Amino acid sequence: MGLTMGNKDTESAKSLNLVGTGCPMNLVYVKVELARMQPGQLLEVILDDGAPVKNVARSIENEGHELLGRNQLGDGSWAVMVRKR
Amino acid sequence: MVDFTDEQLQRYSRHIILKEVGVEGQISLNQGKVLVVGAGGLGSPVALYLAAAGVGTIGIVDDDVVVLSNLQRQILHATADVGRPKVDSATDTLRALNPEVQVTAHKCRLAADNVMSIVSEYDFVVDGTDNFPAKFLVNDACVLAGIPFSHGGVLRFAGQTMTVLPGESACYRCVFRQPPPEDAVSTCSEAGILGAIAGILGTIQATEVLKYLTGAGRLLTDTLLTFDALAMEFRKIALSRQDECPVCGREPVITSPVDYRGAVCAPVRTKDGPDDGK
Repeated sequence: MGLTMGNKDTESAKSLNLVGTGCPMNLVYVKVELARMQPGQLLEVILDDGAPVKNVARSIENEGHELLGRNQLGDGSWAVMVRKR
Repeated sequence: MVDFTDEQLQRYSRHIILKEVGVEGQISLNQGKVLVVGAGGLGSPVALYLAAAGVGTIGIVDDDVVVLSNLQRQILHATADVGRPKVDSATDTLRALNPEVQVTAHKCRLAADNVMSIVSEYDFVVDGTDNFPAKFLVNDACVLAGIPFSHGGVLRFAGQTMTVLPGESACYRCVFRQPPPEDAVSTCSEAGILGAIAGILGTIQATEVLKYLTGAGRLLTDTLLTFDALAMEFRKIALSRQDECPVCGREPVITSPVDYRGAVCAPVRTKDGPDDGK
């Protein structure tokens, strides 16, 4: 799933589709993916609307990663772009 | 490096989502090797929480068998285990809780001639013993081997615990120089213990192990935590290393583990026959 954040780095971002994955396993999968990446690398995460996008985005930020932006997609889910700290 | 199965991710999800633990902390837990000395009132909650947390290797030392009077507090064991060796009962309980954990049974009593070889296989040791000679033996062996450990003790409605990082923080002998005279100490049958007290103290010890392995927070070093459950009062007493400590001081006189004769509040099996100290 593509996403344009006005940042050319996004073209090399990894993507993780967590539509249908509830809390807190969605955060678990995001943390596992981030743990596999190098600092500074980008990860695009697709999350359900509501609690998932709210909670996961807040937790990721709380852990010191950078939230570059979020975009609501046609089906209501959200694409969130994260830069690993 | 990060290759958890989906089952593992679910099992450990509440750890992984903790900022202070995370994926790296869970890997550290899975790679951790912890020795629990005594499968009794303290060792039970310690071993259960370590197994639940996925601590990779859990060693259990105990030479005793389960008796009915243990079950009021020793929650590793069930009624059907009465008569079985405690290490066997413990192994079954821990494997049922978490089959991924390697449980190593040491069916013996720690003594000067075996303690160094046993503790040296582990990253951390938990003192869940019920007698002073064993507590000094665990302290001395861990200090000599440079292995961090958690001291714990409970009686009636009270408990105390401290975490020792050998060479860095006060050890048990810095605080309590030597075992008290045998006749100065209450025995089990005189003293008694409220079962849940062992749960409180053991759970604090388990928490220290998990903090040590994951690097989360500050350990209970240079501090004796005591509590009195009748008033539900907790106190922290500041400690420091003592230059004249016989085992970790400047000029140690204890350079190998020492066996003290006799035991307090615990059955001792000798070649001459049992002396249950009661």
